[in-house]
Amino acid sequence: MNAIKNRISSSIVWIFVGAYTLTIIGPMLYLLLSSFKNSQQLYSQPLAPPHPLMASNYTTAVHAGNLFSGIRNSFIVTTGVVLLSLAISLPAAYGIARIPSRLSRLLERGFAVGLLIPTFSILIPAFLLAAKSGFLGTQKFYIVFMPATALSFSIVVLVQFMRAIPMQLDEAATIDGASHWKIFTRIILPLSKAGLAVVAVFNFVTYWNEYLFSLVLIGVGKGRTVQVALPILQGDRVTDYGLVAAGAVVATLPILIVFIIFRRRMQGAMLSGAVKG
Amino acid sequence: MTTEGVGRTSADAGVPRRRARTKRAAPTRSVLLFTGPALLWFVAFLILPLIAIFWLSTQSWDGILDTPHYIGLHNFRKLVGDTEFHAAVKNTAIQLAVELAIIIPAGFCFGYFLSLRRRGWGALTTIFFIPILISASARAVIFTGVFTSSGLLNGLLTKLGLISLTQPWLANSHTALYTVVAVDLWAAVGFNAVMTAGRLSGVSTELREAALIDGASQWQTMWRVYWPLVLPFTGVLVILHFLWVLIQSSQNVLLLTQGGPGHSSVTLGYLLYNKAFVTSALGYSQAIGVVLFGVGAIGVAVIFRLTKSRE
Repeated sequence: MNAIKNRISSSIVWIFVGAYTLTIIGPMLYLLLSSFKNSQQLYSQPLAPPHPLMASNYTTAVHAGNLFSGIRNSFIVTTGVVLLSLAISLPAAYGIARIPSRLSRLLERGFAVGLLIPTFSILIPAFLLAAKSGFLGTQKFYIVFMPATALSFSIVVLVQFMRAIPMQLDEAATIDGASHWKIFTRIILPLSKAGLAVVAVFNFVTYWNEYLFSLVLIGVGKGRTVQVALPILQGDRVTDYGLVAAGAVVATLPILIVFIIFRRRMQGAMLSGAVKG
Repeated sequence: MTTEGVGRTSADAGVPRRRARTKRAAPTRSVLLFTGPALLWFVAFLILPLIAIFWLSTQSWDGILDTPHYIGLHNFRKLVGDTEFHAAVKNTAIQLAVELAIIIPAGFCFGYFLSLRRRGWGALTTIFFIPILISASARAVIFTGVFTSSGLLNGLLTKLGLISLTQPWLANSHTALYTVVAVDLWAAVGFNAVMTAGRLSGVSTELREAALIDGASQWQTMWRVYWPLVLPFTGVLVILHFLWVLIQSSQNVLLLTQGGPGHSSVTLGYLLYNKAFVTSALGYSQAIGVVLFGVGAIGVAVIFRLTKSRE
């Protein structure tokens, strides 16, 4: 009886899982197919495979949307934010994970609560700060400001990695007269490479994909990122979906490459962040 | 406080007490040295901007070149009578209700399914994880293609002989809000499933085997044994998605429908953006920010209470 029930419920679940899987893949596949079609093909046969295959969408999209410049800007801005976030959160994680005290416990809780602050909520204060300090429309302000929104996650994850290192290492080093700074740079940092990679990759994806703050703080001028350039291209070429689709593929490729290389680490990072939050 | 401490010190043996105190002061200073920069960034660029929202909400500030001046609660009084705000409240409530009603069971069931590690679970996990990696801008391009008049969805409906259902999904005031819901769920269900599966993989499989031997079906095992077990974790995921819908998904509205047609897909988060950057009412937009803050805080507290571990 139960065997039959299990089989039925399992096939129902399979149907739902299958439907959702198709829902994920379908639109992405449609985007990819469309990126090789001209408008006429798209309109007359939206579901048919592209024929003839139009690679010209890609060259036109990259040219019309100035996408390579956008990718370069995204790369500069994202790398800046990732490096600055690491420079700030690595020592902070050391202070919290390796120097037990009431303050470090308090700070750990404080940064964990920070996970609950959605970035979007401070968009207008950030905009006003940029405008009043005269840095509106620059990548500099974005690079300096945005690590604040990455700190909570970075610190929470790094603390977990650093806690896993045996305390005896620090104790032995302290007996040998090593300072905290020496323990941090010589012992803990080299042993936290895995955690560092997780945080760096996660933040890279987050800030490569970030849209609203790039739009408001950096703007649509020369310094615009690829995520800002894409909707502009879409607005300029409303009727040419194949072209816009090609642009979207180009803007997404760097992240897919990163994902393929770091898949397991990224899933682990998300999980540890969510568990703590 | 201080006198009490002094009194106790003189009552106790003074010397070891003092040594204990200097020893305790040292870690505090080291912690401050290491966490200083993080604290500075956290306070200056996250906490103070968050507090600034409350100050801004009491200002009349129409555009960056205008001089702000204090108007008390006038912005909030204006909100109460603003029909666009009413539409935004209603739409946000619908969006929250629909998305949470789908994501909680779907995320858990799919996560449980993945955790059974049936054939193909590795590939499924990867597929479920991919949408969250796609940026809001690219998602908007993808779903413009899906929902546009000559797009994927209408193409499929035509193929299935359901041509009467075809419509311009983004431009129809009855469906525009649901296109935003669809885009949110598209990514979030898979993400929640992968996270839940990760959490379940930390739970021993003996529980399941025992339950199955006792004659429970897979379905019963899932809901009666595993659901209560991972409920606090599910609560965290629900909180994250709740905040996402309330605040962050406004970028999907901006990119897909811009609140239209009419006010049919205006949400609170999008209205905040719109008031600040389209109508340049900076103070007014932050009154909405305060409302969002309040709703967010209450919602988080309620979800936390409901999903707290029962031990």
